[in-house]
Amino acid sequence: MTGSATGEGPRVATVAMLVLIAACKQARESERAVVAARPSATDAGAEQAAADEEAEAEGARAREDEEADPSFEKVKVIIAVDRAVKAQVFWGVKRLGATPLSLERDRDSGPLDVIVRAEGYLPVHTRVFTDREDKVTARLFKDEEAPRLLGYKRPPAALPPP
Amino acid sequence: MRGPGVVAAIGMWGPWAALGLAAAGCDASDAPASVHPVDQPKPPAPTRSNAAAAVPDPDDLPPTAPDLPPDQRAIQVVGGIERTVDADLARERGLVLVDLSDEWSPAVLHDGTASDGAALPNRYRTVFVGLANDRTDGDGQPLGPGEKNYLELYGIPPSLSVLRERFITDVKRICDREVDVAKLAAVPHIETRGITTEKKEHAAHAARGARLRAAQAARGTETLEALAAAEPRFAKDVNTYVRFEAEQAAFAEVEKRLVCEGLLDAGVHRAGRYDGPMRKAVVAFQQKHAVLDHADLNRPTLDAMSKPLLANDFAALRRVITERAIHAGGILEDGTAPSAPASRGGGGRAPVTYLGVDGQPHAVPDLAGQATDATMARLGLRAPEDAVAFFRRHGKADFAGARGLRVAVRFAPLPEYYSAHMDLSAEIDRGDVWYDFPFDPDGERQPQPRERYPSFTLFVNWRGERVPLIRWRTTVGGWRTELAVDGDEYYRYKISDVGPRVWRHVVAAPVWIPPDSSPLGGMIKEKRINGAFVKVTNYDETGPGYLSAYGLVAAIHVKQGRGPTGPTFHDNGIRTHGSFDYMSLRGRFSHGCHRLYNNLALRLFTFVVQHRKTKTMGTVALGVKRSFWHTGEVYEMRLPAKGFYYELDPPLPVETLEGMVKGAQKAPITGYVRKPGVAYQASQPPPPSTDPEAKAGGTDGAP
Repeated sequence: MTGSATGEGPRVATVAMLVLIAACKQARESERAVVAARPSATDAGAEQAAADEEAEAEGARAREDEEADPSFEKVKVIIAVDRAVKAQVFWGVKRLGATPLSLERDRDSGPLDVIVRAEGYLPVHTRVFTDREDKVTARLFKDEEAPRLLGYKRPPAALPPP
Repeated sequence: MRGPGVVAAIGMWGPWAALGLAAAGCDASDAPASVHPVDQPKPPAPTRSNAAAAVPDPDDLPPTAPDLPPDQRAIQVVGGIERTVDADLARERGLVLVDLSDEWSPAVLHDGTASDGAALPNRYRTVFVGLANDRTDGDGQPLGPGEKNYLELYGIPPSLSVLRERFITDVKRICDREVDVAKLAAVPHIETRGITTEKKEHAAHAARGARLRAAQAARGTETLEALAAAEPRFAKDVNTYVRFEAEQAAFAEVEKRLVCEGLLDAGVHRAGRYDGPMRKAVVAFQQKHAVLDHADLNRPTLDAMSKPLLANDFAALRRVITERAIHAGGILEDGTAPSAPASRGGGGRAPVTYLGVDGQPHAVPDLAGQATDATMARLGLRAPEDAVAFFRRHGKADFAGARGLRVAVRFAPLPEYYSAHMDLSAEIDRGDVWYDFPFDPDGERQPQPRERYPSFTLFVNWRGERVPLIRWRTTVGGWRTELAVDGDEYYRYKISDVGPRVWRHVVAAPVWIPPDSSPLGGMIKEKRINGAFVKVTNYDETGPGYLSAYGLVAAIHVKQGRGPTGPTFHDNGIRTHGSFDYMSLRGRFSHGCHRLYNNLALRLFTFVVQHRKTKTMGTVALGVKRSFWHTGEVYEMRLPAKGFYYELDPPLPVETLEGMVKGAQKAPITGYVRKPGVAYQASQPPPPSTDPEAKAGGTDGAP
């Protein structure tokens, strides 16, 4: 069995949903703050994020059309970051190397869920695919930028007294 | 797990399973995996084969020369003897080549070719094949040692190599001797409970037993039944006690069966308790054998546990052959088309018919059943021991590669209404519909019984008639809880669009795009990577994959209109799609979509794509990337593509019928309704979103 991926799916999903809903309600105020704090159209970060998403979209379109030889047994995947810093890329406990990191993988060997760690920035969990040539540019956030992220919750110590 | 509908499959294969071989007499030896003797006599020669050999069959092809290239070979069992035949000759004779290779997947998951000749890789196919072969997990990464994918109920039947391993392993097991099936038959079901409740129930049972024994001693009765007869005040306790004892006895047999079948490690399970390992083993058993009891120990599970291992394996083989045969034949009819009331008295039901060119009505055949029977017969598979012999003849290597084993079979002739572009249409009948809020003012749930459940029917319009080909259970929207913009949870009636729509796009391995309002916690899961458990972004529900909210394949319902430059198409977020939530097909509600068992969805949309004018668009780019925060770290969700698209030209009409509206409320309540017993801060519920994205788990604008 593949554990939760097979047998437990629906119930686990239900339980997870209930837990999430409870968590969501508990953190209603901070969720509201998150929504409010979502980058606005005039926010430089938002523009950057939008540009990233657009670039990602454009890249994906190009990839779908342009991959030279989709039958080639190896694919090249590239992991980079959006800041001028060196970041380390980890796959589980294994360190794969520093960014920009280029890897050759067997095609269709499954996606790599990696963690990108850079000094002074929050760790970023991202995924690169091996069913195509792929490049991911992980967007790094400093601690103080975290409130702009969707889902951000202030740590309890930072909450104002009741 | 879901043959022609999982439920139908179980019912259909029941008689076959009853042919179960008593494994006690089976030879425990295994054949070398690479041996594939051709024309080897089948030991021992069954009488029926001799009889069959006496009547020449025009579909029996001559044995081929041994140097025939592998990609031109097929097999047939003739007179009890397997031979290799010429696949090209088989095609010339109008036989169908049923693919038994481990590389099989439904055609809707195959690679395509663009109109300009460019290759269009269908990326999920590799994952599908890896899952079917117990090679990889849903991400396409290797399974751990001994791990199995029991995904038949999720639309991914096991490969022939996986079944081979089951047969070869199970023939050595003698569970039948170890399990007392009479104890399993003695109870209608076995109550299962959570650990805390179970502990209390066991304590209560012990106390009840002590009380009854004391009363028995005081009264001087020999049995508890005698005590109940003598003192009726004990009757209820006696019944409860006796039932509990019978269930415990049956539970012990369930444990034995699961241990014997290799699904439960007795070393980590506490005997007599429905603990985690036991629950996991029960679910594995149910998913392995396509039993729709998810974790409960009801009659279907107990029945399956009462059968010999090889009988269940044989039923699984038949289900797998059914899928292979249906896809090889490009057919769909599985005997589920609705019958009509008999026209001339006498009651009963008349089979659904179509008008032939001879002017006579002809029954819509069960092509799937016929194709399965023909394939099983051509492989000489009439009972489990035939399957054991087949898999001893054929090592794993025989099924490997895209040119693995094929069998040449004569299928029943296709009905006249078949063509390259069939005039198909689909209909969803919502069945009995209740719009009333399901709670009274005191918060008591109100019964809303349904006699008619939602159904999905595919028709072919033929000679002026609308002929149903299949009818399957599906889902429609209903009362669901929803998180509103004020952060509170309300009830909302999630209606399925009623009226005429079209399917313009069919999407294989579709991706569901979570709406912005989706809770983020569900987007994280733990996964073992390089020996360590790490948190990763959860792509299970987005897909592509069998756990995707849209299942393995979907069709997008769009409303067709007319604009100044041509037709317009509006997507309101409703799909007909496969579903991982197979238990929901038994009467639960969706958010408005029409769910099908994944294997049926694969059959349906493969058939649609094969029998309609279709343009293969290939993988359509999406390019969504979202960053979100969770416990001090950043998670990115990347959705580079939204699935492998087919465009139907012209679109296929699909209509959702109103159904029979029950109760006092005759129109859906459009706003949020407060949940009983919940204190809300806001004086009024906020208005619900009317964005299609909020429907049915999101929308995805057709390209």
